Amino acid sequence: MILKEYKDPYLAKKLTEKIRILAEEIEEDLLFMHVCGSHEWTISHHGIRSLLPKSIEIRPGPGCPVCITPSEDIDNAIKLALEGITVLVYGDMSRSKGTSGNSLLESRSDGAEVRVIYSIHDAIKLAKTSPEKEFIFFGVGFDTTSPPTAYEILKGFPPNLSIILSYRYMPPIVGAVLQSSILGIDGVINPGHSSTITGMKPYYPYFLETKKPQVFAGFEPIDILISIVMLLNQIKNNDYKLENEYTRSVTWEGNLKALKKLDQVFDLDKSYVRGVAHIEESGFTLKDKYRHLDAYLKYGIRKKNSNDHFVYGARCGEVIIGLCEPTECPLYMKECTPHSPKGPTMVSFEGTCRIWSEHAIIKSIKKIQKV
Amino acid sequence: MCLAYPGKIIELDGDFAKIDFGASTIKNDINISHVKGKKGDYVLVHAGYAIEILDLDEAENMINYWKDITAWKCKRCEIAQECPTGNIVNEINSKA
Repeated sequence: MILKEYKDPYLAKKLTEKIRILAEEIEEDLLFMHVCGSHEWTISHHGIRSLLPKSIEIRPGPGCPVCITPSEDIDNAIKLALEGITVLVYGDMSRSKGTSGNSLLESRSDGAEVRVIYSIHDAIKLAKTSPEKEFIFFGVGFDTTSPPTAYEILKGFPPNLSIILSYRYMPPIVGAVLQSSILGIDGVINPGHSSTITGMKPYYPYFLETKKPQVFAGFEPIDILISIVMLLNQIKNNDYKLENEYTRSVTWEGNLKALKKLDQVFDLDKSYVRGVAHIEESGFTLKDKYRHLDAYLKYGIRKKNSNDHFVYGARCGEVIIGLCEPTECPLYMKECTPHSPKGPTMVSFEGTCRIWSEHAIIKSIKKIQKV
Repeated sequence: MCLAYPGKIIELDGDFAKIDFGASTIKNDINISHVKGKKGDYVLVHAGYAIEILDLDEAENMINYWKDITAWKCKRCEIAQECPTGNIVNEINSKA
């Protein structure tokens, strides 16, 4: 099976050598960022950072949907759950803390109705089996997760189900990260599955703004190594472009069937990406025809879009944007562990702190300080 | 959430399919309404929904290209395939 070749250690060794040679020829320190929790998992799990020369750093950016869901949404979900409406939520989202310091799961001890589900399909099934109760689906995710929701909305929600929407659209988030002068990024490893849906096309305007290398990468260790070689080649040859490494899945146009469904159901609006900023066109909102499914509208809650805060002393926000490594947070693996997480980056399976803690990374590996 | 797993379509039934993920993991009821898949195709599945068909020819293309580029090229004949594997290299190294 050809996909096994994407784990080939022999090819990995040769690609590592190629990276070393290119890094020597380029001579500068280079800071690349990726924006996907799954990429961080592959990089940490296969020890890819230990293969790279000191002058190359790959930093984890905002790639975890649970981490970037504003605490306001969590607070509102808890409020509605305490009023007797059953909130249906993913496992890790249920443990993410709101402003009160409580998560949805913890608020059950105060009488909140919360149930953990695995997909929107489960949510619809549950709502249909108990038509006398009111349910809310807490929709969290990126472009990969929103098409199934669009499909179900088009098929028809049962009348006792509404949705709290916290879906984010990736291209503007990559654009924001590239534009940030504080981060000083030299190139981006673009998300693979989210761009399988959106295609490469929506990233092009953001490329034109900053003219920095962008490579769409797959999720096997060889994919990541090839992507780094591609980025380095672009920099060495001064030939910047949108390049596709994940050619077996990502195309320029994207998944047109899924995009058509998304277009029928959602609009894009300014939204708050927790820890990062308010970013234009980064949030999915329901089109007028489906707005009645919005839980906020149904239950008369006004979105304040207020700024966020994390537990005292925690540096979750800086970890999300990539300004700080988990090891630099004073709570990391002391008060904040996978068993008793204090912030979303440790709660979520795709949070940087969680992934690092699972791979026993306890020392800082940050080499590059860009001012 | 970007986690998606490759699997082979075994059976199709309207919007849903039975998918074999390998290692004896077979899942029914995977929603394939977003892809134009047929029996035998490999698809990427995310949380119970197929997001795209995996182009395995392209996967082979990419990996062969990089295996080629990183292949060691013998100084004597420039093309690795024409050298007896490793022999000439070892000869050169031992004389050096």
